[in-house]
Amino acid sequence: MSLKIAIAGNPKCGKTTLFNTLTGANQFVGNWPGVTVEKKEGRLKGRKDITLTDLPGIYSLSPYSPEEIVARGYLLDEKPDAVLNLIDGTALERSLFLTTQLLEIGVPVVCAVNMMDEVRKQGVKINVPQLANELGVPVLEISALNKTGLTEAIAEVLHSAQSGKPAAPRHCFSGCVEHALAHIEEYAPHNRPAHLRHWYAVKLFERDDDMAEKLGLTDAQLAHIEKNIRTCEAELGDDSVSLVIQDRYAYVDRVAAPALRFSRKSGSLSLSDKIDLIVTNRVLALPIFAVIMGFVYFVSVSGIGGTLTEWFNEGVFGKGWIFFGHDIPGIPELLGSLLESLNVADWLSSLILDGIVAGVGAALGFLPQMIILFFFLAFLEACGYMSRIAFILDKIFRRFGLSGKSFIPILIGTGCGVPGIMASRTIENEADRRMTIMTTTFIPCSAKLPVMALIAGAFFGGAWWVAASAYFIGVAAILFSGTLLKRTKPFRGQSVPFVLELPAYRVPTARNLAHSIWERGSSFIKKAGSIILLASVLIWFTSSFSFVGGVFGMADDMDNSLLAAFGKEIAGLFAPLGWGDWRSAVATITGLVAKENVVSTMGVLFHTDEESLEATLAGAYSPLAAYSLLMFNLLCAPCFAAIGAIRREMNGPKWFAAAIGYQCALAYFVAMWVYQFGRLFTGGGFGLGTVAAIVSAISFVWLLVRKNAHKLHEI
Amino acid sequence: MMLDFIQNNAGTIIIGAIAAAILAAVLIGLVRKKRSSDCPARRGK
Repeated sequence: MSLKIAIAGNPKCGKTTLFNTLTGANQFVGNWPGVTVEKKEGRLKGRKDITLTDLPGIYSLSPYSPEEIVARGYLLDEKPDAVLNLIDGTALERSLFLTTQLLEIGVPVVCAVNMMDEVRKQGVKINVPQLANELGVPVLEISALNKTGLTEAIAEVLHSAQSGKPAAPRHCFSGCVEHALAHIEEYAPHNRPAHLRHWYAVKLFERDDDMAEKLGLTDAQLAHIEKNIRTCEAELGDDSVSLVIQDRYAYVDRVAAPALRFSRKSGSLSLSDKIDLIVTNRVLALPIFAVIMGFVYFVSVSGIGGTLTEWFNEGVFGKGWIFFGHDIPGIPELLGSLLESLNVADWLSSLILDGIVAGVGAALGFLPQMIILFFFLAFLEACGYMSRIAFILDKIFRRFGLSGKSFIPILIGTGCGVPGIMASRTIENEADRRMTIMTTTFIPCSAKLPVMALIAGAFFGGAWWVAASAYFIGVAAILFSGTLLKRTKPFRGQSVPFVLELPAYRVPTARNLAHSIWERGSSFIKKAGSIILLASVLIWFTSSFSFVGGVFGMADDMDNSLLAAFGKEIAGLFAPLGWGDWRSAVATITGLVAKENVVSTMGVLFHTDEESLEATLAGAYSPLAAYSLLMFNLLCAPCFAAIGAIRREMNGPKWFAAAIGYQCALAYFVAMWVYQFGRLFTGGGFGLGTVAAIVSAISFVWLLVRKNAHKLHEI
Repeated sequence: MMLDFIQNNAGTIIIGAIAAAILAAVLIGLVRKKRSSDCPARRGK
């Protein structure tokens, strides 16, 4: 008999860890229809007839976020045979809030208190039998990470599912609320199953429009229900939603307090608290953050990452390397020999070697640096430090018109801008949300790392500070944008308060780190084998062919090619930025498809057999022009995938155009300032470009410091 | 004559065919991925 089991719980309580352990490779990931909330289903290992659904992490079943709507819809409409409610043992009271609601929806529930290893480390004891007695449902101890208690939990859930006996909530609300609920039950959900009427009554009491619509209530019924609600609100002096929440938490306190025993003295600090005294210290927090990120980029770009990338670029994708005294030829050498031995036509050899290998190889060459960076970012996120960064930066962000809540999408954007942009949905304030969408991609994503590494390697001796400066300039651009935009009418207003739970520090498991690195790394390799491959072929074709004497054929010189003709038309735009030649202009344009294409395009257009890409580039541009190129590519419109995400999230063509226009404009001016002021201070001369840079800089400063006519006055 | 052409350009034909197949597979894969991607998201209430 096939059974459906849903795993429900708060975010970060270990649901996915549990789900992955129980299903192994037997899982499929998609999206819930109509939203981009991830849907994960899988078959229980060894029991193909049992389907597990990993519901999105939610704090309640209220209809305020896509995750809550999806989870509630699934529980009420698809009716799983049982719910495995995962409770975070280190945050019992918070977790039990959701439990009180799950017990009301008429489905068998089994509670599993997770992270018991952490609970014991904190010196806390949870009386699980007492909890089970109070809640009226089976409660078990598990540790999803250490895989303990899982067999018993599954056995209990399957038993509950097969019995089909729905959970009966033991909690009740205050007298006045129960009175109102009783009246509402009389009026509303008569045609609904008996064990669900109370649930619907509570939702109607909370003025849940979704439920009212679902129940098909008439206006007269709704009016009567509203009268009951107002009577109760007037008596208790609070709104109905708050009354329900207060009563739920009062019940949770009554249940949790007797079940918890603390062995360390109350008020004494845990290890996480002691670490936070230093890491979130008022004075030390930011310098520590700067040192940590500097170290991360130093090791990734200059240290071992730089060494491995050099081997990749000049060995594997170059002339070759020496392995224990043996000469190992690189891929271009091997392929070149093969193509020559097969007497392949020149144009085809050129396509393969100068196009595909040069282009894809240039991007793939930076894989070692990216893998190491992914490792560090995954470590910092998994250990809990990144939550502290959001907290630390909240105070600074507020001074610039943002809040720490905006940092979460930005943090996600360090991996990829698309989920970063979509994470802005957690920001309720529309103006702040739009501002976050516009600025999230200023932070370098993993795709921009090859560009940073190429510029650092070719012009600055592989210096670690190039990549680190790009990161901090990205943050500066976000702060600058916050200040600037908050002074405009569409973005005025106070930033919303930011409430964040700091998880306990924990040592990330090797498995989770490896999984995270594999996910990101394989995504990059797939991109290299698809988009970058096709873009390299297109770049090769358009840079190798032209109309020679009216006849279409291979160009004798790349400067006379189709691509050069197009590039020369637009190159003039970038002249004030110091890199007004067609190659860099074309490379920047191809970066719109995928930022790694900037590197692969340069790999094709600057490819020679005599020297490496970095050496060729170093001869083509000055370090100042190269840094200006880096700044432009860092800050301008992101790749097409991210542009598409911005279009969807902005919900309007004008806002979308404004976002992209703003990004390109800021990138242009910043790159111009870098080049023009850099030239001025290094004795490069004074020209029209310098004048333009001075005028634009003064204008921007004025925009930043002018009186904020749209500042809302605090009462 | 056709046979001569094929014999003289065997290497180009074989390598060209392999390269074309790879590029076609990549292009088809990208088009399929684009078509099967989920509908544009809407915000939750």
